[in-house]
Amino acid sequence: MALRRTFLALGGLAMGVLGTGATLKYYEEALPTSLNPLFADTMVDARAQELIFDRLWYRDAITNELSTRIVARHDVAEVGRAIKITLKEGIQWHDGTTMSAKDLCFTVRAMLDSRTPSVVAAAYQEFISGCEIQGPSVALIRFRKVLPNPRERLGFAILPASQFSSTSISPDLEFSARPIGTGPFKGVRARREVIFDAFNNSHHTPSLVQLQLREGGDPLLQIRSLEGAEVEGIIVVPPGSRADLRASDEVSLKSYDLRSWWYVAVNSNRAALADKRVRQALNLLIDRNQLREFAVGVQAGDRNSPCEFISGPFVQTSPFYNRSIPTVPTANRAKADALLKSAGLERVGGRWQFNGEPITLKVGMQANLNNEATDLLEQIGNQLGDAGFDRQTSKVSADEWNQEVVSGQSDFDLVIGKWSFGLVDAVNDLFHTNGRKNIFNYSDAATDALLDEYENAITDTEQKDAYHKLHALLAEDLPYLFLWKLDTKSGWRTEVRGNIITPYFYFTEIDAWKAD
Amino acid sequence: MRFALLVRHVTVLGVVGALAGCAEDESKLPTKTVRGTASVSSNLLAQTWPVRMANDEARAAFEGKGGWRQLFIRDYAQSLSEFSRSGNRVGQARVHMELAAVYRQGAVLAANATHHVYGDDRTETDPVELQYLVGVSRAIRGDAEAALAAFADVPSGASVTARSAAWSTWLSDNPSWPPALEWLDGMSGAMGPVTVGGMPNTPSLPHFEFTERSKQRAMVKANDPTVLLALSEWHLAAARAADAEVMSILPLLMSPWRLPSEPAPVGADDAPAQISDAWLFARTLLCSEDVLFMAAVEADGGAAISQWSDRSPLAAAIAPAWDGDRLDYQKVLDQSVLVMKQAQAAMVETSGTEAGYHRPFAMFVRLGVLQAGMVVADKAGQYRDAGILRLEALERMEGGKGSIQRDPAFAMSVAAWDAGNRSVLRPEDILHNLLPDYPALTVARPPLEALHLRLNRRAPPSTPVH
Repeated sequence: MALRRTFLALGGLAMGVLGTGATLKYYEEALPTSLNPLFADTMVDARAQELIFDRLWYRDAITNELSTRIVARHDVAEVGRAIKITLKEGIQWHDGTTMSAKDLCFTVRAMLDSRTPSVVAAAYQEFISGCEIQGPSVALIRFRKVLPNPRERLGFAILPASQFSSTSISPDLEFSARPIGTGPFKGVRARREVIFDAFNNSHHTPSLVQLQLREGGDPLLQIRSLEGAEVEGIIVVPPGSRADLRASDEVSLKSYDLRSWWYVAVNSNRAALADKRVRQALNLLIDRNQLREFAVGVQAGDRNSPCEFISGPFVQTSPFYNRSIPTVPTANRAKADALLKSAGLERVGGRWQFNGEPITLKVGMQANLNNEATDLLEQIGNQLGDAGFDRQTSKVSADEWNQEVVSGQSDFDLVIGKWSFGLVDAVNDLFHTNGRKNIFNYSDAATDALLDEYENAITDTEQKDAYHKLHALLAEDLPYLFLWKLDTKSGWRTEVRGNIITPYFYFTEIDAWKAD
Repeated sequence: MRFALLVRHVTVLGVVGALAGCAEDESKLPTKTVRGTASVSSNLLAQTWPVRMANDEARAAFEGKGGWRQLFIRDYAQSLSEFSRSGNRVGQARVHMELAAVYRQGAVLAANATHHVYGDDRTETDPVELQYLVGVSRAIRGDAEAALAAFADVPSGASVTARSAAWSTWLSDNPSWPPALEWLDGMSGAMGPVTVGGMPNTPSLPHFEFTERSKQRAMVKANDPTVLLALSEWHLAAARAADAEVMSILPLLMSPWRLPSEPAPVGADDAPAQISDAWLFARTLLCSEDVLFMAAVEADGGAAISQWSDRSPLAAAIAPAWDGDRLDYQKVLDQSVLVMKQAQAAMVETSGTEAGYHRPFAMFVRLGVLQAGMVVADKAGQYRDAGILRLEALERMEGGKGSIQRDPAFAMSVAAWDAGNRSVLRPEDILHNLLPDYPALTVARPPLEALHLRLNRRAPPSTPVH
């Protein structure tokens, strides 16, 4: 496979520009799974891709103003069913060739190509119908319906047509490890890290010379490395380490606006778990207060806690969160036991059995989440064990998570994970029968109906109402045990200056970052 | 209870020691990790309340005293209760003023969100009655003409028709802001008599439910931002009742929190020579001169810096960042750290030893520099740079070890600023975190959520990622 070919040795990397800027080393949650923006499956992917590519339009990290680095001019056309885009002249790809309208239309056509297995592209397919080249720098993007303010919807990254033999783009192409973009940095994924070399362009003048992304391991080692200036930053500072860094004069803790919530997904196609009462019992057996205290270091009643329980698939600050659905902070063993018995489970020798067979729950967790919630997998395993379930626990690598768990091909009974969202916290892909990220192929007609109601809603209020009803339904049917939202904080040494962090995308303003 | 916290970084002492006693001597400037220009003399620093209160006697009136401790950690309800118990009228006035600031900024948040979602982004399915809220919002935002236009769109016979008429009449009479408390009280529902140490009644929410003009006729819950104005004015009235001496300085003290529709306060001429520590403690305006300096900035912009840099520590602090036309925000960031360390060094010199409260006290100095720079940048038309300083100041109010709790009024002002930029995630977080202590701020939730929903439909598509 192309991705498994030999990667460039670190010492042999050529820089896009030689300058007097610094190199920043930072810890990420994991290595990116792909540097191709069509296949941004993880937040690590999204952040890394932001360094390499330009999105057509983006939001300013400070003023939220809609901005562009690559569009010289735009005109709404065809009575609102198209937009004519004139690209800026002289923007170079990392291979030295010049960006043109051909690249823009290629990107659109690749997104529309049904053979491109991209969840990102699928979302754009719903409203983009085509692209027509009208000049070397001019392209007309057409929509399936009238779109007011189309610029706000066009946030995709541009790909170089010359790097692909067709508009059918596979995630396995070498491009995913050695991409060519127009962004401020050229990136190459190596075995243990990703190296980003600055690339001066007509629209990007990064002050930094190089960025080195490393996979963060043990949280304590990450913090010691940061304090000892062996690295300059940590994207996700473990909650337990934040207090120490906050008091440091050498490191600044910085907020990273990202809406993330944690969950235990339940395989409702599996044996006893197919019964809603069993899932409800599991929900009552999990003591969230205890988990939060031991894994995250937040106690019940802590003021302005970074870790807040949720009762459905949204964070509590979302307009979609149904505040009438209470969270379940503590376990209720008696109620859980009653539910399990009503579902036909029997307790034999202190262990639950289903149809005469002992139940062993196979529980997995995304491995890198352990850095944020220490021993969460073991804690949940222990709670299930105390409640009478045998279990096998295992940490899941990023690749396995991506290729098997999210695609619905794992054989776990329960998986612990985290979903992250930007402004749009739509969850249809998670719970719809045809959802593209439906972990255990959960399928429920009433859920599908509400998700369709959301998609087809005419007004904002109708959308909100649909999701409020969804929240109530999912809190009852429990394809997930909903845990909490956890704020994200980054830590950067104070030598790093101008380091404005963009909500969700992180590195949008990287040109202004400097280091002594 | 002392403000004692453990000092953590022994290495800082070396830097601090180098600064102590001779801030002007560049040869003793700290290591490369602390940049900036030592522009604040030790005399100016000595004027600031954090440095003065490194003296045990100066601090005694506040340290461990019921009311002031709670105010420091921004527990205003408990603070007010303690001040009431001890009969501290100035303390009560101070808390009422802080509460007034919170609700005033809440009104701005509601107004900005409403203006965008039901004003600029109005859709044909929106209930037409929402134009009443658009009118109130535009009035708060200082656009009386647009407000009157919105009120004119409210149909007769609607639940808000009488309110629209009342607001229209008030605006048309060209009054000065704000509306009188009696008038606001009449519009908002009886809040009860102004009681020093008490809290106003708040009407139950939502105030209204309107029907969308769509096939489904979904119901839209809405609240009147007038209530938040009323709450603010109620608390200001309570502050005045608690301490009559505050009358002369209240406009200056409330200036950072004034509505867009309110004019800047008059300058230094009418202000008392000395503002007491009861009004400065736990604020980022560090001495009387800083208060007057900021009033001068409102009037004259950055030109005030050179006029005040020999008297106001904040003016001196940001002077190196001002070239006469523009503010260099990076220099303000650097100065904020340097001056904070200078203040810490000065506190060590004053108290004779390191103490746990030094860092949190000095944090107010850092925040003061950031916020002063923010205001100057805003006045200079450097909107984005002001935003950078604004967000940095918010970031530094992190709470926890070595830091200070968030100032809720400042947090609300950032939320309002964000909403003005059509940005919703941070204001939603800010509002959510404040609601347990200030439930009346729930008034601002519906328009913010409505704005989020509307932006949600216009944003680039995205799917959850792990």
